[in-house]
Amino acid sequence: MNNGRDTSEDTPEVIEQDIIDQTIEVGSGCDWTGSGVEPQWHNPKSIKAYDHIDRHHGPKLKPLNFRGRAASKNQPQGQWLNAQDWVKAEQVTPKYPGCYIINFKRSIGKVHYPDGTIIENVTHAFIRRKPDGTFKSAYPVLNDATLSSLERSEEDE
Amino acid sequence: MNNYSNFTIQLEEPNGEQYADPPDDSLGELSHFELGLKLFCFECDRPVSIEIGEEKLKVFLDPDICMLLEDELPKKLSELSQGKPIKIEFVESVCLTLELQPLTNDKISCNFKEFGYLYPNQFTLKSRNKQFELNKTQVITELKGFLEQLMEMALNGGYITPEEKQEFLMPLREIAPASAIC
Repeated sequence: MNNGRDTSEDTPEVIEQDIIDQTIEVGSGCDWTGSGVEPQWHNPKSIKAYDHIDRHHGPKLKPLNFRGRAASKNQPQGQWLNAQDWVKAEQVTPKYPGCYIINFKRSIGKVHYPDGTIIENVTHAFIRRKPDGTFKSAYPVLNDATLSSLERSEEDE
Repeated sequence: MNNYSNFTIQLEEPNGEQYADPPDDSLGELSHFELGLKLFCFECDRPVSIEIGEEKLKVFLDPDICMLLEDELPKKLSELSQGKPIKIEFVESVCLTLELQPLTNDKISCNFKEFGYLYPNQFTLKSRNKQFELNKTQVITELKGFLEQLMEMALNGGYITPEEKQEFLMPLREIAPASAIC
């Protein structure tokens, strides 16, 4: 961890992308084209820009929340360690609506499995940027790089 | 009709579980309607079953259906009825894009694109596709009925006003009678 400050060596990198519209740039620093007031991009508590991220993948959620969700949805659930990292994600994600996988090159979160297994030190995140630039969703995900150094732990709670 | 794959969407009974924190608009960024939709989906959260042919999906009001509402699903349905292609996207409980392309004779081509954890421990944007042929009238009728049910619940719960409900569902009124939607 480097307290959110990335050096040139660990600048986050897009490793997969599925751009939906490359004709218009949206997001922080671009003209606001959505409804109502422009979101506070630099504030991780912005419900307009990041609502579902904070409430469903935020650092304050308890492991039990994730275990229940993972079991109910039968798929792993990602959790951010630091709310500032989804603001960082917004800044480094291309300014086009679409889906992306970003490699932060440092630990940004963990992934909870339905059986209670937790994989720590997850370095990648899935991002879905909407046509107005806000994030529909964003959460840490597993990848090959994660698997090479994964640390598994059983949740005690 | 018999050659078409079935399409259904329905609310299930609440399971009593809450997996997320409540919506918090302490920055005052949302309209009354936008916050009302989020509060409704959170406080009335329950599973939603979707069947497309042999595929059975389980999603939730919060956040999956909430995201569809925020994506202006009524407007998309109106576009579909006018012969325009639309996408219905899930990125939480499941990672799935439904690409609906109207064809001739009330037929819709449905590209069922799954992505995400297609392989254990490996999240990818590369998709696994399946093709279905759906009946346009059935798809629009199912989704229209589902939307009206949700908005009625949100209205009755005091989350949105009658005017907000009417405005949100306005695009459904543009659906051509020829589509046999009533």
